[in-house]
Amino acid sequence: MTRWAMVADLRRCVGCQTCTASCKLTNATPPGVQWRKVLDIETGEYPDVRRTYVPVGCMHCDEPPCLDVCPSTATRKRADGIVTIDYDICIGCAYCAVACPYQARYKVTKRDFAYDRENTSEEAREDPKRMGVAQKCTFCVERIDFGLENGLTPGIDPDATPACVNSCIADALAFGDLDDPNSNVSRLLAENKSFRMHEELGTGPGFHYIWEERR
Amino acid sequence: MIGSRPWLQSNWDWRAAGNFIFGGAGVGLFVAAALAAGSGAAASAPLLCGMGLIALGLALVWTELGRPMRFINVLRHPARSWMSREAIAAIVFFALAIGALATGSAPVLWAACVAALAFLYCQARMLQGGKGIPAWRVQASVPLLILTGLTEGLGLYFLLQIAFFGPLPAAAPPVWVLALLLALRLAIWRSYCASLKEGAPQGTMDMMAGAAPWFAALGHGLPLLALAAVLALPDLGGVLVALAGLLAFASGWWIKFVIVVRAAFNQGYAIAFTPARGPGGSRVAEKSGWN
Amino acid sequence: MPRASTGESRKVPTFCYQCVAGPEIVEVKVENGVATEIAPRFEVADVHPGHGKVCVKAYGLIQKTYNPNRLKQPMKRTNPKKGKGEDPGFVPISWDEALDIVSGKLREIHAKGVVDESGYPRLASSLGGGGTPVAYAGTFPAFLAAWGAVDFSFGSGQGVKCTHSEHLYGEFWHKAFTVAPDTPRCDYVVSFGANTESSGGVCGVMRHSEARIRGLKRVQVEPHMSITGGCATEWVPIRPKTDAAFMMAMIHVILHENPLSRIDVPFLKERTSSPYLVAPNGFFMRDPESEKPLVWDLKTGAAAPFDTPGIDPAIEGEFKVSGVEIGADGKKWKHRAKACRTSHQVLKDHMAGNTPEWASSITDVPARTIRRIANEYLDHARIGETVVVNGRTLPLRPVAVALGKTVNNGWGGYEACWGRTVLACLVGALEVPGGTLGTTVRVNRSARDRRLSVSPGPDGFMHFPGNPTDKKGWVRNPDQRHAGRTLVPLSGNSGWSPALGPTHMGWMSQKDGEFPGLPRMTTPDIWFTFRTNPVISFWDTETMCDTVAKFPFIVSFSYTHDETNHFADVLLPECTDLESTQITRIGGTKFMEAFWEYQGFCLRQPIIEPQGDVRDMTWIMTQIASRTGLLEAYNTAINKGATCVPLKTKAYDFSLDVTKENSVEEIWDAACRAGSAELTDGKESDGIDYYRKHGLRVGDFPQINWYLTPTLIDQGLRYEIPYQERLLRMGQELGNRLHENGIEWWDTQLAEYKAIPDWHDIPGIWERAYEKSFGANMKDYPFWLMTSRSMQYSWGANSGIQLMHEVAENIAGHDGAIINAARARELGIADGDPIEVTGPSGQKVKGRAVLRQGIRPDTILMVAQFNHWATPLAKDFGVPSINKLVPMLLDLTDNTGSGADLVRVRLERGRVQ
Repeated sequence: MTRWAMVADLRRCVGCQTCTASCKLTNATPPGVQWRKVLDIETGEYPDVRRTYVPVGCMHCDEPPCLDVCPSTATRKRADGIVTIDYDICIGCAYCAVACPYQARYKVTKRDFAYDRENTSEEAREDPKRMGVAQKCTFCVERIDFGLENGLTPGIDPDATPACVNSCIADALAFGDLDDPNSNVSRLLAENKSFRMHEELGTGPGFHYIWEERR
Repeated sequence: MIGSRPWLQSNWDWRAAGNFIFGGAGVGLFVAAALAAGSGAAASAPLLCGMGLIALGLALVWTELGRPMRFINVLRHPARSWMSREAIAAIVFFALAIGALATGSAPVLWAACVAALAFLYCQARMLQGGKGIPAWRVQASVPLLILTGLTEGLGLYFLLQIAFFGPLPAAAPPVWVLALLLALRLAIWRSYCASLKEGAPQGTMDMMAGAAPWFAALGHGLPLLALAAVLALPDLGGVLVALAGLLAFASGWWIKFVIVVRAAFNQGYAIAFTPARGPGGSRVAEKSGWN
Repeated sequence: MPRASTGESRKVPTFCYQCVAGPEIVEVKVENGVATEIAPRFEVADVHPGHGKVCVKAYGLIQKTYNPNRLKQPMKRTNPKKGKGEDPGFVPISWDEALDIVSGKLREIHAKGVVDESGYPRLASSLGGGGTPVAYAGTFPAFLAAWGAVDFSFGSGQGVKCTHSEHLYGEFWHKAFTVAPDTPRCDYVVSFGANTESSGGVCGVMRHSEARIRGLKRVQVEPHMSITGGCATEWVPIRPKTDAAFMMAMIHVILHENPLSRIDVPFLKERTSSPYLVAPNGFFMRDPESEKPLVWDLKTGAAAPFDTPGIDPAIEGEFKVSGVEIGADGKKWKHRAKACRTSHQVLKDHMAGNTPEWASSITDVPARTIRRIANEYLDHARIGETVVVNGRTLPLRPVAVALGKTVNNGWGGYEACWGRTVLACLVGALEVPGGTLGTTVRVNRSARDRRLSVSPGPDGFMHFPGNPTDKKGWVRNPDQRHAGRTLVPLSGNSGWSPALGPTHMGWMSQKDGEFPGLPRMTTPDIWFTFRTNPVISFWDTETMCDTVAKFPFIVSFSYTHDETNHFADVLLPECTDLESTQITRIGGTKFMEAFWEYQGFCLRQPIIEPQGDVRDMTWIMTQIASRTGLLEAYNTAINKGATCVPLKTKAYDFSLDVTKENSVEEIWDAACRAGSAELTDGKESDGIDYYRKHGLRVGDFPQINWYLTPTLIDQGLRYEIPYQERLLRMGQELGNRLHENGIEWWDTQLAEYKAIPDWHDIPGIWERAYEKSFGANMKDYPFWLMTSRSMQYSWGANSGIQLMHEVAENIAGHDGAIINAARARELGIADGDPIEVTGPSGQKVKGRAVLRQGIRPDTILMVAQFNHWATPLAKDFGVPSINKLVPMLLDLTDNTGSGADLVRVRLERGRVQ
């Protein structure tokens, strides 16, 4: 079996938002919609403060709350763990958005552009199917499927890897198959201590955060 | 800047709240009216009002759909989605209710009541299924939504009946049932608040702390007092019951608006540990914006 | 992939050089002729230290290209009145008309002579920060070379927003225009505000990321916790502008609380001025015959010239020595048996009182913290260890000190740069693996390879091409309005030097009129601006508007309407990044932390059709040169290499016909061929098509080239540190020249020329200046306002790009001013509240409060630079900038001509709009 998962090494991330920008271009998301973004989190009190940059987005959960609630079956989970949305079925009720504890889903109901009018590139890429329905990170599923069809390894070969991972200038993001003990992500998780966000909610996120080396 | 602290969700607005507000009260009203109608089911104004409220709630939430013309797809996931189930319950309810009104059949009316209650239950479960919103996902939100729906409905029934539709029928639920429902709603409300204290965003807690005393006093204390006063002032019984009914449903509507719209802070983001930056330096991280 | 693409789709390489950390190769996806995506160029991952990645700014290039706010045809001004509040009345004109207007004006000026009656160039030109605009300017530099004297005095932030003191002192000490740790081999960095994770580019971020995982410990000492502070092992909040005191205390701990055996004595003896004996007047004691500096030979117990073979110079001690001492302007003293200390002893004695306890009261950092950090630094230095790099055994010293902007510019910059360089030398960590390295070189030549800039100078030190201070050589009449070569010997006379002068003095000269003793100040007849926006990016921005409004004729190469071209007479819209052609150098060691193992050339190529009637800069400049009658000189300048690479050397000849208007393609094809030939010693001559396909062409640049010390060893040279006799002499001679010419107003700056610096009340310089200039009581201005680099915004240049704005908002401070949360609460200010910040000159800015824990209670931070009022989109941000509040004052100008980006301010809760 295959379980695609993302690993963010918080020791590496510098919050530069290159992944955010890369995702926005690759997936042509309108202003304000960020399937991938990096948070700038402060903990502690002056002068004992920590600042941590935390990439977030759809966690592609084992037990996705969005999947259970979706009344139209637009949200589905593939056998490889990727949670998808069928834009042709979704009714845009946003139930998934309130069910997701990671605030990963967006619903856009109005055409919006970077500037006061649509530019050539936006025009070329606008997808009317996205209007009024739920949208979120897909783990760049088209790239993964393209790669698999062409004998590439997602997470290793750029053409088969999510754009955010490709773009990361600190090598903080990694993508791969958790069910393969020799995959890059399996090795990273074996060698380092990690947590998943809101683990207590039982969603089983497919997004792991490394915070320290395992000694 | 997006912080890690929970913020107010904006996906479901007053229109979604309207479904819970009108749907819940509509169910309560319909059931109360059905009980009052006794075995002799007939077209009655309160029954129609109940149906109208449920329809209004559904219409409101329909306007919130991003793709309203695809509304039929809401039925595609009854296996797991409480929204699909709610929709099916609504269809069954309306079929039976219309059937009951058309035929005057008491069994059909009772069946419609069961469907209405099922609809209310689905609605309550639907809200609780919003796992991203701590104010919704607690278990106590289910009995709270059911109870307040019934309480509102009965309160509304008394109000409408006394104010507009004439004397209470003999088969109408006795006034003490409203008192009982109010007492039960207060108990479950307290239980709901207590469960929030175990883990909810500060914003939710602040909103609830502001709302709770008013809900307790105006939504429960005052109507119970009014109902108790009926014993001492039987001449004013009608007015007092109507007043109790008004407070019972208005407070329920208000608290549902608070829960769905105003206190609906999301989960926010949290990290369990801050990372090691170079040798050492990692540590447990606190969750920002939580009580 | 939002929509299945049909039709033609291709991926085209080009370069991104939006900040000094570049250039880097980026891949642009084009579908049906429309640029749609930006991606890393993995094809170059093997040669690129950042694995082929590009930073966030590159992803804004598509929006930049298709921005509907672009100016899409030439414009001319119809309103003769210039001012911030005046509508310029721009009307569209044809290229023919535009070029005729500009070249007509140029011909008229050229006929009068390229310099005016005061000796200042009639033509001034400004380019944006860090020299990167040149990589987009096509053949503009060739036109300027063909023209003759050009004034570059009017900076867009140079000198005040760069790491200016580091540029000048870094070049003086170790050919280091910018300085960085040898991160891949370093184990311990003390960073005083070096914001590498924001400004270090892909290479810097990647190197530090790898190093953190390897175990590099970085202590970040800075008033606010920057992006980089967040990535550090430890944050030490320090009072602004007191960094030098911290470093002096570290030096104290190393010298006074540790035995001599813990420092790198061999390095100090052989590679520094440490053993040189200091004579009574502060200059070196010299051999009467050879006039070489003397050292004390422990073997013979006698003084000997420093380069006497077989001696063992003393590091510490005081010795009775006879000899001569040579001061400023050749003044000579003869000494007999005078007590002379070694330079190292002078250093040690000098630092005797600078204990951590002493520094604690200045820096507001606990003494135990300073002491611990100094000892940790020492513990990590691994003195005596070696490493083999490219077959050569070199010392391994994995410790470094890094400095950031505002620490290493303006007053205090000298002390900080000196402290950093001394700390490196004490443990032998200067320019060796693991230690503190220079990255790029600009004042010295060659700019391509730092090693080639090393040549023997006086007294066993490296040559430094400073501006002369002797009577004969001193530049009495400045060739730039900021008088850089006249006032700042350290700024040198390279192609970059005009930008290294005190550029705010260029602006001040226009405002204040005169600097007594210098030729009468004039306004340039014509001013070219390219990729620059000084009206908002410099200081005292309200006054800047008035100053620029007085410039009689301004030609702005333009992208959108902006604050500077608001005052222009002619707007010439250029092809932007994805529409134009040019090659530039890539790799080697460049700014920040760009350390490559390859170097060569990369191409920017037109990827899509120009959006509107915009033209390639090279075409524009060829037209202007031709219409101005300078075509031959212009082409000759191109042939000589004014546009990146000489087209003709002994090894190859791709020179252009100088008599004709060569096309853009012809010019850059020849440059590409020359680049290929340079990389292959003339063997290959691949032209533009090769670069179009691959994006770049590189040759080897071995790691050993990163380190300067091996070159010094080979040439038997030393670093002039910790005692800088040359600076002392330079300052005294400069003082003599200035005073001979009646210039007294530079005396405070002259006092900074010390052979060895000591602590003085550096923050107090600001306080006193404000009291003197504005009568401001500092009790009314309790906060230090600072600024910090944003990776998303390339200074201000891409502020009008919505994508950059959107993603930058995810990082604290991009939507307001960062204030310490507890302090704000004391003032009744909540997160998001409107605030008003007032500077000592009375200028105010408004914005929103961003409450954070990671900032000192006495500090406010305004990230990046905004306050746009004309640039579309950016003018609606409502985000405050420091620039309006910082006054330009001579009192706040240090001897390198630099100021620092900070100001004392008052904070009040603003009114809700």
